[in-house]
Amino acid sequence: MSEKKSRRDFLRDTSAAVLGAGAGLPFLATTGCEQLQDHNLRGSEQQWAMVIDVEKAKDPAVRRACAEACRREHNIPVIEEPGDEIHWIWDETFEHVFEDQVHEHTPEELMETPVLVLCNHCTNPPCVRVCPTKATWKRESDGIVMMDQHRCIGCRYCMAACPYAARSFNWRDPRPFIETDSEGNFPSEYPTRRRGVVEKCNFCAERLRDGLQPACVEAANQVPGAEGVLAFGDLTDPDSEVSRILAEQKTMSRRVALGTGPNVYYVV
Amino acid sequence: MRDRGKIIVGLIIFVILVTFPFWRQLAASGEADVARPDLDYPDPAEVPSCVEDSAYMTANHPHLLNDWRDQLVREGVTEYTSSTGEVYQISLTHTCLDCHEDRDAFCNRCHDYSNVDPTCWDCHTTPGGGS
Repeated sequence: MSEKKSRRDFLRDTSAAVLGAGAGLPFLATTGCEQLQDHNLRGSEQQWAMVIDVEKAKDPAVRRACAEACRREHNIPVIEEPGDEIHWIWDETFEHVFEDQVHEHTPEELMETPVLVLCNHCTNPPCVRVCPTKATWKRESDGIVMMDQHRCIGCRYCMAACPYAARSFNWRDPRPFIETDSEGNFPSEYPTRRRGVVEKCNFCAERLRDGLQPACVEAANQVPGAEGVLAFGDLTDPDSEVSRILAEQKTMSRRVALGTGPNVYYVV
Repeated sequence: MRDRGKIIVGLIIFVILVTFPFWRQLAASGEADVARPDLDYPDPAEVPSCVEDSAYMTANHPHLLNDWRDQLVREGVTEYTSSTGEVYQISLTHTCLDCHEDRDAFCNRCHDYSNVDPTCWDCHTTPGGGS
């Protein structure tokens, strides 16, 4: 037998080498994970937050006022077909909003109570983490989870990642479904969207820029008897209305155990 | 080689057909330089200048608008300081269209002329919410 390797030897040595190299891979991956965590835990300088009084929001006029004000402010299309509808602020029953808080002895009446829901502008937003184009991001200056419709490619990863189903996809051109006045003008100057992009509540970033409260907050608090149903303010300011309510009253937020850090709170 | 004549004639016809668009262009270029579009500029008495001078805007407005978009949407910058030091609000709907009131007679007419189809108006509205 010469020095030449047999086919069998060659195969054995090669597979041993591949296995050996593969065993080192987990060590390489560790660095990547650390970077990811660091990125996601970065806080904002300010954090807008909302507190919703569930009891006061039982009045259907309040919830209608919110949805209507939001629809007009952001030129939201009204599409009846389930699955195609676009919603920024809407209501769900208590048992669906707080599904981890109800049990078999929860009174039927509470289960069926309608609760206002919207984007939670999470402190650690999973939608931002998955977006491949950075079309959605957490604004460092005020903690709003923003959307850039110019950059959205409509992949809907963010919709799959959001545990609150706060995002809607434009399955069709929304413009024909936006209510216009007699001259064909849209309710507001806010840009409409196009087919194939995702949209959601933006905490009225365009109104906050002008020093106004979000449209839903303004509208809901004007409904007779519902003053104070929605409170809005900066969580990092201990004297703001939201900080005060959170410190004094019994509040909860949605699916806390997931660690997303929702910034919409409920007085129950 | 008896078909040499046919082959050569066929080749000549083929070459003429393939290069036809170039010949046509050459023939047409003699007769008409397509007239520059007649754009509806704002009255200089009311609006002395655009955010930058006209030559710059003609050449660079898409880049300027893209910069504005990124600054406003992503960085929250709301004001633009021009090269002359004037400060303008960053807004397509207002800063641009408040002066260039007739979008069809300004934006669209030139975009048609230069055969470009920007997607701005798929979403953005004119002042007052017009499509």
